[in-house]
Amino acid sequence: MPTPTVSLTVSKILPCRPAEAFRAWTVPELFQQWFTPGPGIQVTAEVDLRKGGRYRLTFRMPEDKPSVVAAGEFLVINAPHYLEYTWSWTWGAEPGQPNHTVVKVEFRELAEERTEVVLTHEGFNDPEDCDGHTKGWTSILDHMAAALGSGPASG
Amino acid sequence: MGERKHSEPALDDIFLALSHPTRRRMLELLQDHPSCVTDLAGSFDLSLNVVSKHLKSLERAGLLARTREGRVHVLRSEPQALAPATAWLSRHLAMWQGALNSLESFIIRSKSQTPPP
Repeated sequence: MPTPTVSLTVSKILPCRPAEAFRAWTVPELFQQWFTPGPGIQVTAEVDLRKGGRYRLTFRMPEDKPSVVAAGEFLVINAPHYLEYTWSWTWGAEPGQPNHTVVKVEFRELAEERTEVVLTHEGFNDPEDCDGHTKGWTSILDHMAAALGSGPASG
Repeated sequence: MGERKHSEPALDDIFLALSHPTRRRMLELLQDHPSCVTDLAGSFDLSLNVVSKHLKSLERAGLLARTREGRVHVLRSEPQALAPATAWLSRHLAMWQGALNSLESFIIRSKSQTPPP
């Protein structure tokens, strides 16, 4: 895997075992019941859950706006603890963007039948790598804050 | 999720430009002090050719402006050009946060509906 360079992370503690959270994430009939990126948006999921298999999420937008599709390929499946897949947005009939991003979902087992879900969305790797080495990855949000003048480093 | 397809190349350019530590360092230096190419290059142990490639990547993304003052090219960072990338990140952050919240509600709901065996 190339070194990831741009990422965002969210997490949540769920009142269930990892297996249950993993199922809710990977079984289309379950996934469709909870996953929505916004009010009034309905999602249809097609999932081929195996390494190299593809998935496709169709978001039906409210008020007859054109549908939006997120699609990609499973890179790592380690049930019920870990999932990794590519993620590309497609607008209408346009093909997916060449610079796909990667979603990683970790299901960490906690005590008392709880699970922490940690989701990382990352991507936009540097294809040029001009000086031949990329020194690890850093949260782009920090750099943006700094560049926008609101960071702690410079004002 | 309101992006249009034709706005994506700009977004890719911005993220690609930001995805290299050298280029991020360049932006930070230029944010504090606009400078000419030679002075900027002096802060890096890199050939002028490599420095110039990095600068082109930043310019393509609109993150860097070049003005001519006499015979010298002065480089300035253009932080407002980050706006599409910031918007992309905040939209996705909101989407995933919302998704995890509704997953939590779904789990709680299904627990209450299905008694444990």
